[in-house]
Amino acid sequence: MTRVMHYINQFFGGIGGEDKAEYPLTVTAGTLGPGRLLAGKLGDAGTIVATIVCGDNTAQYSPEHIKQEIVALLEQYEADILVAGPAFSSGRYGLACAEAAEAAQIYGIQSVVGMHPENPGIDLCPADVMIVKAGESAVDMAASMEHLCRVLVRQAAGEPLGSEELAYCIKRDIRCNTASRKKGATRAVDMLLTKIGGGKFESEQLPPHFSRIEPAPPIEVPLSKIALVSTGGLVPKGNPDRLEASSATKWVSYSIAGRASLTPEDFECIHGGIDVTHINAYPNRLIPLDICSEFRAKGLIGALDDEYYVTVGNLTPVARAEQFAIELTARFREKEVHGVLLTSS
Amino acid sequence: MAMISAIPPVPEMMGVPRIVPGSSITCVLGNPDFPVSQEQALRRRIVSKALEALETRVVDTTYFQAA
Repeated sequence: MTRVMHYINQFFGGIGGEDKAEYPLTVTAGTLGPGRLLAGKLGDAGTIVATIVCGDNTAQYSPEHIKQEIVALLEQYEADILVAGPAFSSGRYGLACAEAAEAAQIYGIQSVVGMHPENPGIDLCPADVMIVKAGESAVDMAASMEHLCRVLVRQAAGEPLGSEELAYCIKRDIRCNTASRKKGATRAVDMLLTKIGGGKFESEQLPPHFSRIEPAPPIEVPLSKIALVSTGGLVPKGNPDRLEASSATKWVSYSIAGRASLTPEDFECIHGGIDVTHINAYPNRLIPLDICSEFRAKGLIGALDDEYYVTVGNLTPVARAEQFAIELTARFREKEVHGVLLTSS
Repeated sequence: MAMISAIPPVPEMMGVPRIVPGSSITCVLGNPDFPVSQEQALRRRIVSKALEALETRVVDTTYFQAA
């Protein structure tokens, strides 16, 4: 019988809501929460040997450490396959499920993950992971679990998915290597000549799809509060919150109350993808607090947020950056920020 | 939001609606070869352009080029 490890977050593990998002990674033998529903549907096809519960914030703070812990637990419980979620629309939970799937890949077993098609966690799942479509919220639990179970049973048995099961999964644009009789250069020139000649051609690779961003309406800057945000990794000297130089897992904010300038004595740039010499010599070259303070004093800007917000864009997945934007926007609404100046390299 | 970027085609690819070209990758709001006052003037121009972008209605990706 297939041994299944189930990964869920603190909410579905019955621990608590947002207040328990820092719940440590724990394991319990057998099923918890929605795992009972899954176990019922699995029947004799498999058994859920253990359930990992982890707080959504905990999973984001130190993903490498979390993955290592999951790998160790997969080994301890001799899991044959991992199931994560369903995470529905919960962004951090979706990202955590993607981490669990990565851990399964490291351990050398397959995984099946469930989440909503717009969950930012999708792009972070390893390419060979089947992601089963889930609804927006737990209202859809029964249907989501039913589909998750069907795909899980096939994957565990090493059987190809039927057309019905494939329809339950989220289509992803994954590149696969294949041999061709013609060299790439020949195919490229042939494609170009066809295109120039007005003929029909089929691109070998689809360009990445980025959804359209609806522009915000204009604001009157002299009446508005402006926040300064950067993906350039400018932090207080010593990088107190250990913002990563690449593949950032978080954004951070620091007070600029009472400051008219970002000084080289107090700030440094920890961005791992550029030469930071010029920014370190004069940090306003990345985040223009000097000019913005001047403009504020002259009334050209209504007010400046008393904090600046920073992350590092270097090798940070788009999906994670989208999650940062969602969180930052919530913070800006709380602080009644009307406009943002975003600076990058 | 207005984005000041040294590599405008990147935010353009992402669909950022208001893009303000910056100076260079290692010095997006400055120029280390300029004397201080000239560099301040450059930074002032780029930031002014970014604020102008915030005040402008846009439909699709729009570049706001500082002088």
